Formats: sequence, C-alpha cells, structure tokens
Amino acid sequence: MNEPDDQLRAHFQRQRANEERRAPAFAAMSARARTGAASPRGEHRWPWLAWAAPAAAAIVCAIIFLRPQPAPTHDYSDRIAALIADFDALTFAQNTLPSEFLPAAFSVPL
Amino acid sequence: MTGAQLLAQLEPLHPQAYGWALHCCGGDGHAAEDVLQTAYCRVAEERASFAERSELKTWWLGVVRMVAMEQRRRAFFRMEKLRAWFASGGRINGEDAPSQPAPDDSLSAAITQLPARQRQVLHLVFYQECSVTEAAAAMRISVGSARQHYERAKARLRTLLASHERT
Repeated sequence: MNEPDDQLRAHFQRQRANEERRAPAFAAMSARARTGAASPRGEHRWPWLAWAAPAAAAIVCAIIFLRPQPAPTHDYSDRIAALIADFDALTFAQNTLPSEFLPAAFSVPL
Repeated sequence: MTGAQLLAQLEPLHPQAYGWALHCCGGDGHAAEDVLQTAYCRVAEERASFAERSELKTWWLGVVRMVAMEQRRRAFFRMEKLRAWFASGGRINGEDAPSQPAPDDSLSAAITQLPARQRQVLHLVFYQECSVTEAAAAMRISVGSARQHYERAKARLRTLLASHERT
C-alpha cells in the first residue's frame, strides 16, 4: 500500500477545484457585510424581530401587571368577625391536641 | 487595521475560506454561505480583529471555524427536528431530502469514516495547503495534538483502503 499522501493531495485538489467554482462572489458578500447584513440573502432574516420581540414582551407584561383589578364583589368581613367572636380557644385545644401536651388545668373537663 | 482594510486583505483567501466553511458545515452550501457572511460581518464590524499573532490565513480559517461551530450549535435542535421530519417522509414541493454527495471512490468513502478532527486536519493540510503547525493554529489546538490527528488519520486511511482493496 503506497503512502496515501499523493492520493489525498489529488483528491483534495480535485475537490478544491470543484468548490472554488461554486464559491459565491466575494464583492457581493463583503458589500453586504459592510451594511451589516448577516445573511447571504441580502439582509437580516428577521430584522423586525430585534425590536418586535422585546416590544411584544413589554406589552404582555403591561397587560398582566397593570390591568385594572376588579373590585371585590363579596364582603366577608361580618362572617369573619362572627367566626372570631365564636372561637373558643380552650375547646379547640382540648379537641385537637393530645392531652399530654396540654397544661394540667386544660386536661380536666370544665 | 479597520474592518474595511481587513476585508480587502481577505479577498484572496475567499475561495479557500468558502471551501473551509463548506467542510465545517458538512458540505451544505447554504450553511457555508451563511457562515462566511457572518464571519465577514464580524470583520466589518470589527468584532473579529486580527492581532497579527499568527498568519492571516490561519487566523481567518480559525474565525470561520468558530462561526461554523456557533451556527451548528444554534441549528442543532432545529436540524434534528428537520431530519426527523424528512425521515418520516416529509417533502418540500415534491423534492427529496437533501443528501450528502455520494462518495465517488474508495478514498472519499474512507475519509468520511474518519473522526471530525482527523478530517479537519487532512482538509487543512491537503486542501488548504497549510503546514501541520498552521492547521493547529486554525483549529486552536496544540501542534502535538494536530500532529497526532494527522498521523492517526493517515494510518486509519491506510487501514481502510487496504481493507477495501482486499474486498
């Protein structure tokens, strides 16, 4: 088996000749580069996206956080006040806590 | 050196840079054009500046390689979905899926079986006519690593070609 250098050189030179024929024109590419066009198709693919995406995000945030909050439709303050007034801490403790956690006075039924 | 001056200096390297971009993009001409255009933009905007620490050619091939890697990273998931779609029988306007050019001989077939780094070093040495040292600079690896890739690539090619001749 011969050293593959010559074969490789011939192969890559053939490939190079083929590809150099297909290379796009430098003048057009450098002219586009000077105008900042990042795509060979002549311009940024979605130039509007640079400002449209942040603007859309800002609008969505504004809608979510700044929309007027609806006024409460029910007033539960009376019911809450009644519950607080009826709350019997001693009965609640006797019913819910195991007796060993209660002070001695609490474990004796009143 | 301004971007415009650097662009003017890159003109003679344009065909080789395109060939390298094609290699870095796996033979995809459109992707190679995108990569090269983005690389030229970086130069024009002076985001890629030549510090004259190496040859202009090796620096430029390194820039093209980095841009190609960035684009490949960005396009990976998109391409995976596209491949899955083509695999499931998807067609665009009745066209078949784009395919790699079929290897024309046993050498081409053997080269496609090499790992990416080994293919890159062979391309730089035999296509771009760089020395192994220049190839190492373009690939941003040490000269020792480049030399190892180069030797291993040739050894593997010998094995592959010998086995092909036997069959």
